[in-house]
Amino acid sequence: MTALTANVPFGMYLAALLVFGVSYVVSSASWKKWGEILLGAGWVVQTALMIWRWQVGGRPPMANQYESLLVLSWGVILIYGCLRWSTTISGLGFWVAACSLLILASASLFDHSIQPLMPALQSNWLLYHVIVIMVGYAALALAAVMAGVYLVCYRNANLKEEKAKALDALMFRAVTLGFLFLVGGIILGSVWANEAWGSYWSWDPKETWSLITWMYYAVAIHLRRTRGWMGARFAWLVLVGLAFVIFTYFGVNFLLVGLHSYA
Amino acid sequence: MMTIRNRVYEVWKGLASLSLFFWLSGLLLVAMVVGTLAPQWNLYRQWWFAGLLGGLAVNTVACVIHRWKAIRWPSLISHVGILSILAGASVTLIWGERGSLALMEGEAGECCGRDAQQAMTVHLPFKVRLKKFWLEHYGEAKHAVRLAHRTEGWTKTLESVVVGKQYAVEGTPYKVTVKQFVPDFMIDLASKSIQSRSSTPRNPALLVALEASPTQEVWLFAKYPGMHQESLPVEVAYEYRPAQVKQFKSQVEVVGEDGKVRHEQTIWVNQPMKYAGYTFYQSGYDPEKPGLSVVEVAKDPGVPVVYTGFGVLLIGLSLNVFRKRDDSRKEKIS
Repeated sequence: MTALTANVPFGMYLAALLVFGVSYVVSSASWKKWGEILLGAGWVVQTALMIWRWQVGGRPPMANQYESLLVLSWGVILIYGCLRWSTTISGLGFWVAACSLLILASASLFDHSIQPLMPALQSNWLLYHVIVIMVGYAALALAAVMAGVYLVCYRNANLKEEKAKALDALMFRAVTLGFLFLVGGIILGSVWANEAWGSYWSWDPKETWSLITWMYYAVAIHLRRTRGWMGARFAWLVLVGLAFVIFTYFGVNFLLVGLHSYA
Repeated sequence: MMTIRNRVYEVWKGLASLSLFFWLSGLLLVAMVVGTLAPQWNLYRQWWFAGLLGGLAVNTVACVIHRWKAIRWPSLISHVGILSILAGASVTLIWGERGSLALMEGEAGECCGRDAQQAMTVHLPFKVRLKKFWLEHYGEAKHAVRLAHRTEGWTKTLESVVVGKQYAVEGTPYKVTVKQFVPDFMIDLASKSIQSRSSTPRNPALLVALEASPTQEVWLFAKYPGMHQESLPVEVAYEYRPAQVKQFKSQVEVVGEDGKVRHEQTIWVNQPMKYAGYTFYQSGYDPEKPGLSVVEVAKDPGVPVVYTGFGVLLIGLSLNVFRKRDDSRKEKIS
């Protein structure tokens, strides 16, 4: 039963992916619209299932790698929805669905049973810290999706070209959003660590790598703003940034020992 | 010929350059990556690492002052936030006190130190006494008994057995009756009776009666699986599965110089005690030493400065993200 939290949204996002795929083949706006409806419905169902998991476990579903991956895929659709609502982008649905599917598929590699919380995680800070940092990762993952699309479709395009310019601006917006949420998550984790252990910074590998990732994006943003690294150059920076995010999220847990070995 | 004023200006321009920011950031990134891969080098405590952070702070101040007319409010606020965090971290480093108290039940302490690498030692103006320490668990510990036949090759496991019950081993003529559980097995030499040294499962043992022909009683030890097996027709092993620790808690008292109790509180992880500017955090225990609790003690005047920086940084970045921009709105990508 507990695997439903990932399996049902997986099915709905897969259906959305297929519908988006058909919309590309037949060049139909209505198919695209149906794809977005399915994506939105999948997100609503995923939200409901996460709340159900929360009720069953008696704690927020954010205590291990499986659950944080669920939040990450949820965050990707949420950020896409926000960007979709505030702009008129319409060609990224296929890639967003693919991104969420990939995240949910990787969740299936981990234990999906609901385990009780270890002492350090029994705090409301768990909810705030994990959700904010996961939304940050989601925004940066979405920026990387846009960077990929940019490099495939507009690699040699002039930024005066309307579509290339719009995608470049949107990619930057996703990066700034991810940058904000990432530091928000780091700050919440830092305040939590001070409440739990009396130290807001311990140079724990996970902490350090999230700072490395955040600093990398700070450098990328400064390169764009002051050195004019826009378009394809910025897209490459964003793709490299995703490698930092992935290492901070996965690599640290498996390769380095620290306070976040459960995450 | 270059005047002193020109030279000072050149230095100032260098300090306020973005190239310096990129260089310092690059060096810090490399240092932090190496620091996580080789923690034994303790890079974050080296003078040059503090120098890089200090250089970044100076560069940030210079950049902000040098470009104050051009810089936007949100960016200015964000950079002030970063400077406040660095300033707070310096206050922590210089004036912060931090130590660790390892106390047995009934014991009191007033001085706590860290390992040799950190000179900071806290001398409390009062004593802290550990009145009581205890563990809370999710559910109960479980016992499993495994039987393996030496010649026939089969293995059967009886999961979650309970004292006082009899279990038929499926597909075999054997029956197992669980008679007694002792968490910390010992033999009292005076009375020659079996006793438990403590309630902590340091040497968990299970007394079972194996009904075959004839019925034999045997003590099984989770930590010493081979003991008392010689006379049995099958190998019998006992597995002790401790319940997961839910929380560990300490009841602590603050005792004044006159010996009177000034304050009493129960602390656990995420629930520290604050007294006289010091904060006491439940940080650890030793499963091998029942009644021992490790309490971290901290007094950090840098925290308010760092927290102010956190708030200011978040405000600046939020204004930056959510300010009105017209670059990506009303554009179509398809």
